[in-house]
Amino acid sequence: MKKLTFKNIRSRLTFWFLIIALMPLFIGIILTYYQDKIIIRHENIDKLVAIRDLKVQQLNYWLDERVGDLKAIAKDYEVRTLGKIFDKKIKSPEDIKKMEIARKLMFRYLEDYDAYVEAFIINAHTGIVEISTKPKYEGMDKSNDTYFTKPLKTNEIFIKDIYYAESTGHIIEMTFSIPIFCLHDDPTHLIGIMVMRIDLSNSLYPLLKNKIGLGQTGETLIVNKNVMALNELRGYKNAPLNLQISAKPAISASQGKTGIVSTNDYKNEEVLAAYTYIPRTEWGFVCKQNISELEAPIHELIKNLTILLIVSVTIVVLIVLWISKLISKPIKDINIATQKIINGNYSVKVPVNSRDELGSLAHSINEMAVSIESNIAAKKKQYIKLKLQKKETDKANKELETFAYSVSHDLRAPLRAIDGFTRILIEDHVSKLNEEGKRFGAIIQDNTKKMSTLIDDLLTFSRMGRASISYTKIDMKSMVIAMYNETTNAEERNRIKFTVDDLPTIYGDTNLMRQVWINLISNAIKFTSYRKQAIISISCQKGKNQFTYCIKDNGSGFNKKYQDKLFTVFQRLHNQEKFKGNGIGLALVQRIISRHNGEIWAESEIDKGAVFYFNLPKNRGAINEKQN
Amino acid sequence: MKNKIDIVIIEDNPNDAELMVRSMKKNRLANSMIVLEDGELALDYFFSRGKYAGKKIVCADKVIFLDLKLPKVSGLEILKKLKNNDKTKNIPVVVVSSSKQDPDIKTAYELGANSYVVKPIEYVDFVEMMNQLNLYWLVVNENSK
Repeated sequence: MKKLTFKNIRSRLTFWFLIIALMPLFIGIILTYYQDKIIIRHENIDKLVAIRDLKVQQLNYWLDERVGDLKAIAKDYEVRTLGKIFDKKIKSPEDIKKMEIARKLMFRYLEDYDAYVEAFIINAHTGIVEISTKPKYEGMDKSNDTYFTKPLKTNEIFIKDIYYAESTGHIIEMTFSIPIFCLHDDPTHLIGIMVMRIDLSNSLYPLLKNKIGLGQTGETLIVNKNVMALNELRGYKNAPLNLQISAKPAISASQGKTGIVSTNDYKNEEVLAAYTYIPRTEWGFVCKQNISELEAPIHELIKNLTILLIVSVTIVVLIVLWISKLISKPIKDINIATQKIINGNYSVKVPVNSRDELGSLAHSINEMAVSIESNIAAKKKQYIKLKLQKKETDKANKELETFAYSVSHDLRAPLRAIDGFTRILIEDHVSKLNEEGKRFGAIIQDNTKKMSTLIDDLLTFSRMGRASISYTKIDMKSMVIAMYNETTNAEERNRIKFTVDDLPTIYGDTNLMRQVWINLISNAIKFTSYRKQAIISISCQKGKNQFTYCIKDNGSGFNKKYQDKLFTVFQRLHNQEKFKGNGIGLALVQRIISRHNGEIWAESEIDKGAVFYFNLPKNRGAINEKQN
Repeated sequence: MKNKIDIVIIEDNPNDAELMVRSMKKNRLANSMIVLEDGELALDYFFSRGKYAGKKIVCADKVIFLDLKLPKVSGLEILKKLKNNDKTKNIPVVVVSSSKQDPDIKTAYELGANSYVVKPIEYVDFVEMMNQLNLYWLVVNENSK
């Protein structure tokens, strides 16, 4: 997985804050959605089941009422005494009166409930209509009708299924029939069948049509055992007895099952359907509603949740941006300030807005900037001062150099004249000089020579302090041997036992290093000159950071007391008679070694020889470092 | 006819000049030699001005000994003028200085000095050096003319 990288702290904070804040929000909203969806579906099921059960109950009440009416008439005293009258061929006026009473009774029921179309009594023996609320039908033979034959056979109430009335052809009717038993002689003696025709359009159907709680798409339907629709439907004209329904809930209901199912209805629309079976009429009952309508609340829910989500996300994003800015701003300020400090602007001030670590950091940075500024100011002052001093020193050095040159030049000319003319005096006027005069001439010449060397050495010494050192790699051993050979003649070399160990190479100025060896070697030769067998040995000790070179002789040595004065200019530890010298040599050597960042020292005892040591930095880097 | 001048010595120090002349005399060269005491005089001599105006100089000079420290016009200036002039640029110039530490040694060579020597303090050495210089520039060396 690619690692998340952020260009700034604010976007990092924003990202994580959003994750932290939005995750629970999303999870909460999704959970709410699924929970509410389940609740809505359960509610839908409960609602449909409740409506189904209510409708079925109403249906049963309605049937009960009709059966009750029938039973009331069939049990009526007047009606049950009609048997004998029916059997008479010729009715007496009294009989007719009795029949009239029965008719009136039936009329009363018709008046009470206007869905009753007709009530009539069929003679159980003949099948002929004896009394009817519609007298024109009296005398008609109904012996083949099911509403006559069925109760005759079962002695039970019979409900004839829904049909189109023959008389009108479009009125949908139901017929209830009940047997009437004789009151007196034999209670089991059947005297007739009482029949009630009911117009469903203003009784049962309004009940079914009442769609309270079923919305725009809900409806109830009843089917017979052949799954033919029995009531009027929203989506099909003249449905009763004309529409064969193949939808699953209707089939299940007609088969006597009860339940609820989500399926397609007769219109092939997705519906939720609750169904059950009404045994008394052998009807299947279905109460259904379109899923799209039922689940409209879910869409509403989605809409509401979406609005909630958008609002919450907006608020969260705004808050997160605000908070991350609040947190990141001090850091950003500090960053900008430090950048400015890096670029040399020390007058920056980081605003200190809080008392926490960031506030303390900002405060520290402000103090740091002030401290750096004052440090730099001090350093600048120091630098200017040093520069000024260097300028003065350079000027003084330059003047000194000019002075030294002039001195050497101007001292040389008179010396040359002294020497030259003394010589001429001795050569050209030798006859006029006695021995003493000649000796004085020689003394003058000798001193001229000393003065000349002194001038040269002094000049070299004074220049040493300023001359720049050009570092090169030096093979010390071959340099030592070359210098030895240069400073000695064959006679001296015979007298001296000279040994050189392997010496490590070093970085230094070739000319100056030569000067060092010439001076040290000639010093050693000078102070061993009185020995029959002079010994001079040169060696080196390798240290961690430096090499220590060492030159040892068996010469006269020097008194330890004067060790400190050894390297001082014009300081001589021996008298002129014994060893010649002007006291500049070792001072010059010390100056060269110290210019190479080295040290020089010596150990000795009188008449026991002397050892001179000097060390030099091992590598050039150390030299450069020290120089810088 | 005037003697041909082979050697020109430009030297302000009369003692040095005398010592040089003395060493020349020993080599019997004194007649073909002239000593000029300062820079201005030297320029007058070479470019026929002032004291030497109108005098035709036969430029048979074989060598010029030039001291750098001169009054009025410095040795380096003279060297520069000599080497920039077609008439004189081929005459060998030997710079004779008092010190080997002279910072002008490099400049002298850059301006076209043919040689640079240091006057030794000891007379014996000085005479020896002059002998060698004379031998070289007057005998060994072949002039451009």
